Amino acid sequence: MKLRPILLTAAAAIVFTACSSGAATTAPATSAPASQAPSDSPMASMEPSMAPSPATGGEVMTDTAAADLRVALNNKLGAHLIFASKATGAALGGRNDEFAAYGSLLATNGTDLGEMIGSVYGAEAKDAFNKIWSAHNGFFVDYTTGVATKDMAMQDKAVKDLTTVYVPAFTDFLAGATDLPKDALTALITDHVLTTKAIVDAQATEDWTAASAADLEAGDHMQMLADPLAKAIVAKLPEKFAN
Amino acid sequence: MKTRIKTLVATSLLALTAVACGGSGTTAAPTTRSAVSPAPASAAPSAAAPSAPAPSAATQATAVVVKDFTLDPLDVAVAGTVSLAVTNAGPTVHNVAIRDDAGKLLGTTADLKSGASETLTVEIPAGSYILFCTLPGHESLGIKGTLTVSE
Repeated sequence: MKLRPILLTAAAAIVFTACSSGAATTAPATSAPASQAPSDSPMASMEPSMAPSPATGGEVMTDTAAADLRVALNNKLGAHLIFASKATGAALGGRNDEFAAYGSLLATNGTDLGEMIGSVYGAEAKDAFNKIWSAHNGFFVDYTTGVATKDMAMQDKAVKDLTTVYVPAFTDFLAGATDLPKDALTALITDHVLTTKAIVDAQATEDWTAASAADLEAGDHMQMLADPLAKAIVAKLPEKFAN
Repeated sequence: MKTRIKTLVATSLLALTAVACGGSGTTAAPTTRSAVSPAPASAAPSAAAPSAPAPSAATQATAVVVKDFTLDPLDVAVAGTVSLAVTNAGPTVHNVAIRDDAGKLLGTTADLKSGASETLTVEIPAGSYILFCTLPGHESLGIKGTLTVSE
C-alpha cells in the first residue's frame, strides 16, 4: 500500500497530460470548429483525434469513430468495476443468486472488451487480452475468497498474482497495443488492483461508507485508464478511426 | 454472519460461472483430434501425460465442453482408459487438464481457441481426480470439476 500515493500521482499525471475533461457529447449550435475554440473551452485542450469534428456548415460532428471508442471503453471499463463490486459484495454477503448474476455480467463484460480489442487488433490480440483479463478476474475471486475465509495465505497469493502476473502481463499487452510508456501503464493498472482491493476490504468489514467511497474512487479510476487508452489506440492506428 | 460467510462464499465463488455462461447441456460433438496428433507448435502443451495412448476404436471418448467459465459436465465418470473429447465453446482460450489430489498434472489438452476440439487420452489408475483449466485464474472462475475413473 506504500505505492498508492505514488501511483495515484503518476496516474493523475498521465490523465492530465493525455486527456482533456468532458466527453464530447454535446454540440452547441454556436460552437466553432475545435481548432478555433476559445482557450477556456473544454475543446481547446482536446486532442484532434478526440475532439468533435467540424462538419460542413459550421456544426460540430460528434459521431467520430474515435469518440465512439472513447465512450465504449469508458462504458465497458466502468461497467467492469460496477459488476466486480456487486459480485464481491454479494459473495461476501452470502447472496448466491446475486453473486451468480453479477458474475455472469462480469464474464460477459470481459469478453465484450475482448471483442473490442479483436475488432481493432485482430483475433490473436483478442485471445491474449481475454487470457489476461480472465486471469485478473480469477485472482480477484481468490482474493475475495481469502478475505471471506480469513485465509491470509490465499489473500497474499492473490495479491502476488495480481501484482506480479496480471500487472506486468497487461502492461506489456497495452504497451504493445498503444505505445504508451510502461511505467505509466504499470501505475495505472496497479491502481486498478489497489482501488478494487479496497472495495473488497471495505465490504468485508461492512463499512459501507468506506465501501461506497472505494466504489467511487475505483469507478473514477476506470476513466483514468479508458481515456488515455482510447487516445493512444487512435494515435497508434489512425487509419482505423478515420471517419 | 461470519460463519455464514465462510460457508456461503466458498460455495458461491465456486459457482461463479456455472451460471455465467449459460447454455448448460451443450453436448456438441467435437471434431475428434487425438492429443498426440500434430498441433501447431505455438499451441502445443508443455506438460505431457504420463502415458498418452492413441485412442483406439474401442475407446469411447466422453464429451466435455469447456467455456467461460465452467465445464459441462462438471463431474465426469469413465471406466478404463480416460478419453475426453474436449471442445472449447467459450469465447476465451481454454484447456482441460487432469491432476491428482497431490496436485500432480497427469494430462492436458493444448490451449484451445474458441470452437476448437481435442481428445485427451490418458491411462491412469482408478480413482478420483480433478479436471480444470490450467490458465491463470480460470479454475477460480469455475473451470473445475471431478473425474472419477473406475476399472
